[in-house]
Amino acid sequence: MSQDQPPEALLPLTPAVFHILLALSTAERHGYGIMQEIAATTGNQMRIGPGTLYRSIKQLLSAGMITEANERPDPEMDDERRRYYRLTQHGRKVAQAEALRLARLVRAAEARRLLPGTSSEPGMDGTL
Amino acid sequence: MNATQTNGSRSSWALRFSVALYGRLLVMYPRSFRREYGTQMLQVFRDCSREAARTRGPVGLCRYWLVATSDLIVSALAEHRQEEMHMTRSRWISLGSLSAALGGGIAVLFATIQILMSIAQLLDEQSGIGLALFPAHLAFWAAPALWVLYILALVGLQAHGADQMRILGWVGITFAILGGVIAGLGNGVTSTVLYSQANSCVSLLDCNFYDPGGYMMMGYMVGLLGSALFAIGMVLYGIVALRRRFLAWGNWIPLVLGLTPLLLIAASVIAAIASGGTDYAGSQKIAIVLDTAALVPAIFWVLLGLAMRGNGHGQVVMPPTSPAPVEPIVS
Repeated sequence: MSQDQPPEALLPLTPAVFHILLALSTAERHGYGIMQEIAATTGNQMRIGPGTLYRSIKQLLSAGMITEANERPDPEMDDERRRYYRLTQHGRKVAQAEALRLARLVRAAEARRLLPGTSSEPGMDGTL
Repeated sequence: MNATQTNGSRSSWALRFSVALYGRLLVMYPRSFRREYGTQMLQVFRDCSREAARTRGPVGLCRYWLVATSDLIVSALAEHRQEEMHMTRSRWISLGSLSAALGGGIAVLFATIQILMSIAQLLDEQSGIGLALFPAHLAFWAAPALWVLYILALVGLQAHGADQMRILGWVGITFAILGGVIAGLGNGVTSTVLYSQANSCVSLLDCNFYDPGGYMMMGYMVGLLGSALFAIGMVLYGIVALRRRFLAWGNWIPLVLGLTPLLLIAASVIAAIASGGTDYAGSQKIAIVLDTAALVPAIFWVLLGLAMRGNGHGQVVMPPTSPAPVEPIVS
């Protein structure tokens, strides 16, 4: 089963899946809350639709990376039909492994002067 | 009624219409997915479209519809494809699991009967050779049929680990299936010759076969080649299974199953060395050694069948790496 697998075996994650894991790494959230967090994290650069969101949630649930939270942050303030999700220990490890993989990629890009501010070529360092 | 109120009521009507329409469009998803997540998706759509309409008015709502529609089409198609694949894979896994358990079970039964018969005759020579040969005939006849079941089991095993096998796993399982087919054909030829002339046997290891064409030897050699291919394939697959752990338990079983032909080879060598000039009791002892060597892989086939059922009765756990559509929007 996926939960028995080492986190590295599940990489790379799709952007949607990684963003959902990131959103749940700080708090339990419902679907719309996850979308808001993704929008805030990416500065509205990335938006996922309800279909993609719940397909990814379904896959994450079956892989044991997230689970439905039994308790609501504040039942009186919230629509009781909403389902809250939280990151599992396995999900956290997978997210960490993916973050590490991406960090290595960024370092490789830096070493090849592909990031703005690291290139000697005109126009590649963020200035014209 | 002033202009603000009119705009507000239009916007509210558009929002209600949008939500109702999106609710209808959810029918594009598979029923099980809709039942599980339909309400949640509709709620998210309502929240998002309300937010879009609040911040950017009708234009924002239209823009959100573009995002939601493309997401709906792409994700509904992907979900249908995944569900279909999931169902097909689940069926193959169930069939494979059943085949492994059934094939292994039959082999265990035959091997056990033969061991008991040999022991009985070892204790009492007069117990009747014809009775002892009966299960032997059945076993010979059943060998190719067992390979058919084992091949189905291997296909199920392939479906089980399809997401995580990597190239070595694919090579391994392909070798194992190919080996199974070749061994089944070889055993089929040998069994046909043996079964048609079984009456020429005076004991399990003392038969006078008429085989001028050398079909029996050819079938035996082809069977050996198939078994060797199967063994190599299962060892390769077994190594990957141990590393990737795609069975709920018993990920060591494929590797051990791949190594069991070594046991059979060892038993055959012992039989070949010991059979020259041996007496009746000696031949029974050799038969016991051979049947015990055949019993071991049969037990592991049964265990493999049970292990394949381990993930919730053939349910496939899809990894989170399967493609999910994402729409990057540059504002």
